Order: sequence, then structure tokens, then C-alpha cells
Amino acid sequence: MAAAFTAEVWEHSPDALVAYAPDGTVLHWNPAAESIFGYANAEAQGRNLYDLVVPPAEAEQARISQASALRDGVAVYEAVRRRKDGVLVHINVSARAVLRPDGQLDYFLASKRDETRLKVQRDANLVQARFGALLESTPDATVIVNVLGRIVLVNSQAELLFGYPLAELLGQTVEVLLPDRFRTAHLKNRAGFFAMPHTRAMGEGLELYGLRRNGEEFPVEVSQSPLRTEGGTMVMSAVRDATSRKKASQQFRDLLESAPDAMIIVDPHGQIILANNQAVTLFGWAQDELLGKPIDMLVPERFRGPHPGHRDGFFEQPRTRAMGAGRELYGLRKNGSEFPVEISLSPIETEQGRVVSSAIRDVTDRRRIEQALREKNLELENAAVAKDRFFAGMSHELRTPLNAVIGFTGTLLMQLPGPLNAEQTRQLQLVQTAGQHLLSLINDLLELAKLDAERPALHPETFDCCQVLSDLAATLQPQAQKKGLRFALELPLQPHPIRADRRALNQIVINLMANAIKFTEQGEVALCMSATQLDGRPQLEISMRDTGSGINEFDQSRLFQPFAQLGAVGHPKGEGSGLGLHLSRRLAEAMGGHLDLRSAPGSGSTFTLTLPTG
Amino acid sequence: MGARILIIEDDPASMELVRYLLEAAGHTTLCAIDGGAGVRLALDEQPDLVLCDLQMPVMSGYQVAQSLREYPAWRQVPMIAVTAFSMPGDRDKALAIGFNEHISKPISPSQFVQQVEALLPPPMRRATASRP
Repeated sequence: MAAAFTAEVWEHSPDALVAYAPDGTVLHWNPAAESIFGYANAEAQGRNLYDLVVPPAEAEQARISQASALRDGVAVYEAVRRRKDGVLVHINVSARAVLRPDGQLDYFLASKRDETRLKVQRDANLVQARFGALLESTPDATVIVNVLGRIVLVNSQAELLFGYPLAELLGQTVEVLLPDRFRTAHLKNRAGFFAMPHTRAMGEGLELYGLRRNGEEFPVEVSQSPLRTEGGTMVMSAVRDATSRKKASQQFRDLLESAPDAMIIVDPHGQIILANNQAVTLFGWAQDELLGKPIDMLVPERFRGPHPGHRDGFFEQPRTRAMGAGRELYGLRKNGSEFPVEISLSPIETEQGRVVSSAIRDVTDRRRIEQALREKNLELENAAVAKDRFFAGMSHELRTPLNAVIGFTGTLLMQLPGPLNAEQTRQLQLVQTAGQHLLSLINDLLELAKLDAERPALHPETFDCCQVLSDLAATLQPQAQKKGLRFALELPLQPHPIRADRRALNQIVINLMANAIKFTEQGEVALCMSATQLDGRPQLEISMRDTGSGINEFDQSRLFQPFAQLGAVGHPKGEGSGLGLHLSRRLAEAMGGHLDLRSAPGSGSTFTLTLPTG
Repeated sequence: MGARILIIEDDPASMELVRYLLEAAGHTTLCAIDGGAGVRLALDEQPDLVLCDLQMPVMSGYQVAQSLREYPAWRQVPMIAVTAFSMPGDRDKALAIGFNEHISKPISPSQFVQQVEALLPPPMRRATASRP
């Protein structure tokens, strides 16, 4: 019966009954111990009690209590113990040292009562009395947690933020306010915080989230400070909803990622505090290899010396510096290769003080293209120079023999060496005409070749068009008069400045007027100029008009082709090269204008040169 | 009395043409077939006028004009460039370097002598004087 009763007491005691050896090894572990601490009898037996339930911070106190039980026979004390799930409980302990008949210590027997609820209530009363009113007046949601990590006070701001009434939170471990995935880590961190409590400011450290009663998560910033009370050290946490700040920061992050350039943000010490993915790609370092590292790691060694000096200067007197302003800069990749960059810097004022945002652009391709362009330009330049030299040489070599041909034909025709008979004179005149023809052919061909050369053959200058035309008229008029033609000059009264190649203009007018005179047997030739507009843009029209036989439509269609031979009869092939009209039109086009013909058989021809002036 | 005219020209046919035209008009000619000889002859003989080709091996007509113009006695002597170059700017370049006139080849046989005599003092103008 006695044995049975003993067993019954062991089985049904409301308090945990634990017997353990002097070294702490658990000998017996009753069902109440199982339910208070969470370890089954089989799990507990043979393990060390200290490892099992005593938090490290309590170990010293536990040994003192054990020593006092040994000394006084019985020790009664309150202690914080840890359950299997890590949750702390407040325990009231009565411990007795059981001696063997020889007086030696046999084992300890402890009766442990879970007084967590009591402790919470006591602490709640304590902080409510002391801080309740005060906390109601702070703007932040505030949660006070006792040494067990149990909530002992929340202000109404916190009730609102988390959606719980105080009554529901009282005595709960603070982890109830955290999303599941953070709970285990938090328990561990909390133990650390209690071991070495210190004030921690808002927003420092990792990303934190809160959990509302309705299951909704939200980003928070938490500042914590220890409160030392008679009930032990508690922790007061001020919690701020960081949703909007997070959103802004996310937007900033998105902005950073959407930038086409590599973006790196650096603090005043030159440490990288932010880098976008473009920066990761550009430099070949991973995000976490960049963050917190000195920015100089991205600068080739030979530039590192002066860089910190430049940086300090920039932080002292920050101003936005645009891309490409300044020196040739280089970046350094993880693999040690360098590449040319353009960097723009701008200061940003933040909570952490002034930081500098830099946008970095790899300009390798652009540099290469620029170099290629430079080389190409030089090549073209050289080719153009070579071509010019070739034309000059050609001109010289073709004209030199012609000088003798035309010259001596001339001396013979002038009869300087002696008199000529009629047939000799006629034949020498044929040589002379052919020589003149050859000369104009050479001149026109060279002119065309220059127009075909890749660089502009024209040399525009500004001059008074009226003046140039009346000068030309003065040289053309005698030829017209020689044929008995009237020569009309119709110019505006005012000077008319134009920007064009004067030589090209001269050549066109002389060509066309000479043709007009040549192909007109009676009547007049006219040189006219008028200022007109096309689509609101000013232009000059220079017309060369004759009363010749006119040109039929078929001939008009191929008149401007090189060496076009017209069906018109009665005109001896003169000194013309057959290139004059073609060249004139090409010159007109090279000046941005055009040369057109209006003509009909029997009613003369009008060539009109149109040049832009605006 | 005609003028003493120095012709510096490396093309024999051109040389003969110019020489013939000038002598037919009653002038005396001196001939040099390269720039160096031309400069020496010019300094030795002090002609009244110089006709000079521009494109010549070793010493170009430009260099001839430059060297002669350095002598004070040669500041005022008329010099004419006669050249088969006809690129734009050639004439300006010749005038800038010290020539007084630029005649391009092929020359006009009927006008050449007048073009040259225009730079001579009136008493030396034979062709012009003979056709009043």
C-alpha cells in the first residue's frame, strides 16, 4: 500500500518531481516534469539536468542554489528554466539534498512548480503601474517583454498595429508577433540579447517583419532597450510600421535596377553600400562581394593613389558631375581586366548622411568606334590628298603637250615664221579647233573627276550674285554682238548676296551662255536673275534664255548625259567637249541646287539654274 | 629696244614656243632648263623680266621666286609664273609667293606677248608698240 501510494504520488503530483545525481544526471523524472519541461521520462533520464533545462545565463545561480540545498538540507528558490521547445518558464523550486546512511550525498530531489502565469501577472502589474500611462503617450507601438520573453505590456498603439487586445497577448511569448519563419531565430537572438542587453536603434540591422492577428505580415522597424526592474531585466520594444518606407526604398531599388548604367552607391568612407545588377555584370563581382567593400577595388591600381583624395574632395564639396566630364577613366573587373568608363557622380542626402551615387558606363565599344572613325577619316583624308595630287599631275601632264600643239599652230597661223597659202591656213585651223576641243575636254573631265572624289570639291564663299553675273555678262556680250545677237541682262537693282562656289557658278553660266550664243542665229540671248521661294525657303533663279531653234523632247531627255549628240543639224561640232551640260548640272547639284531646261522646237530654250540661299 | 627676258622652263617644246614668240616680238631671251640654273642666270645677268615654270624637278618655280625675292635688287623685277597647273588656288599661291602674274598653259599665242609686255615699262613694249 505504502509503495503503491508512493507510486501514486509520483504519478499524480501537480509539481514536477526530479531526482538527480550530484553531477546533475537525471535519475527520475515524473509525468508533471514531462508536461512542464516537454521532455519525456525516457528522454530525460541519464541526461544532465543543466543541459536539459537550465539556460546558460542561469547556470551559475542554479549551482549556488544546489550548494545551498547541500548546506542547509533544503533550498527554496525561483528560477528561469527552458523548455524543450526553447520557451522559458518561471519555476518555483524546492530542492533537497538526500544523504546516504553514511552521510554522503546520494542525490538531489527537487519539486518544481511552473509559476510562469503568476510571474507574468506580477510583471504585468509592475510595468503597468510604472510605465502604462507613459507608454500610452508615445507615438510608437510599444511592447514590453519580461525576462521569460513573455509579453507583459502592450500600449494601445501596439494593440492597433498588431490587431490584438492586451488580454490576448499577455503572457504569450513575443514570437507570436513574428511570422513563423523568423520565430526560431528570434528565440535564439532573444537569449543573446538578455545575456548582454543593450539599446538598439530603429531600423538597424536586418529586415524585420511583424505579424498581425489576421495573419498579415508587414515590415517593421524596431528599437529595443533593456528595462531593469525588481522582476528582472525586461525589454521594451518600440515598433514602427515600415511599409511606406520599405515601399519607397523598394522604388529606389527598382529605379536603380532600371537604370541602363551600372550604379554604385558609396558612403563617405568609400565603402560600397549599394550596387545594381548592371554593376555586378559590368565588374564581375557578386552583390555580396561588393557590399561593404572599398570602392577602390573597382579602380585599377595605378589610379588608386589619388582616388581617395579625389573622393574626400568630392564629399566635402559635392556637385553633380556629368558623364564623360573630365579625364579618361578606367574600371577594373574581378578577373583583373581593365576597361574604359565614363562616370557621373551625384551626392544623395540620406538618413545615414551624405552618400554618393555613381553611374558607370562601359565605353569600350564607343572608344573602339571612335578610334576606327579616326583611322577611317585619316585614310579618307590620305586618299583625298592622293587623289588631288593625281588630278593636279594629270592636268599638268595633259596640258604641257597641248601647249606646244596649240602654241605652234598659233605661231604658224599668225604667219610669224612665214606666209601660208589658203589650204595650209585651213588645215592649221582644223588643228587649232581640235586642240581647243581637246583642251576643253581635259578641263571638263578633270572637273567631273573632282566632283566624283569623295570630299567636297566645292569652296563656298559669300558674294554678290548680281555683281558676278554682270561681270560675266561683260565678257559674254562681245561674243553675242559678233554674231549680231542682242544681249539682254535682267538683274534686280539691289545686291543679292549668296553663299556658293563662285567658280562653279561662273562655269555653269559661261557654259550655258556660250551654248546659247553658239546655237542662236538671230534674235537675242538673255541672262536673268530673280529671287523666289520654294516651300517658304528662299532661292535664286538664274535663267539663260535664247531665241534659237529650240530642242525637241527626245533630245531634252538625254541632253544632260555625257557626250550626248543631238539630232540638230547645221551646227558644226565646235570646241565643245560634250560634257558641258552634264558637268553644269553636276555642279548645280553639288551646290544643293538644280539645273532645268524649258524648250520647244521653234520657240527657243531657257536653262534655269536654281540655287538655295537660305 | 626690247627687253632681256629670262625663261626658266624644263619642257623643251614649251621653252621653244615662248622663246620664239618673244624673239619674234623683238625681245632678247635667256634660257635655263632648271630652277637652280635659272636663279644663277638671273643673278648674273639681271634680266628685265622672268618667265618661270612652276613644276620642275629639284627646284620648283615657287622656290625660284622665293630665293630671288630675298635679294633687294630683285624686289621689283617682274616675274611671271607660266604653268600647266590649273587647280583652283594655284594662281593665288603663285601671287602670294612673289610672282606678279600667272599665265596658264596652254598659252594663247596671239595674246601671250601682250600679257608679258603688260609688266614691262612702256619703252620696252615691242609688240604693243608695233600695233598702235
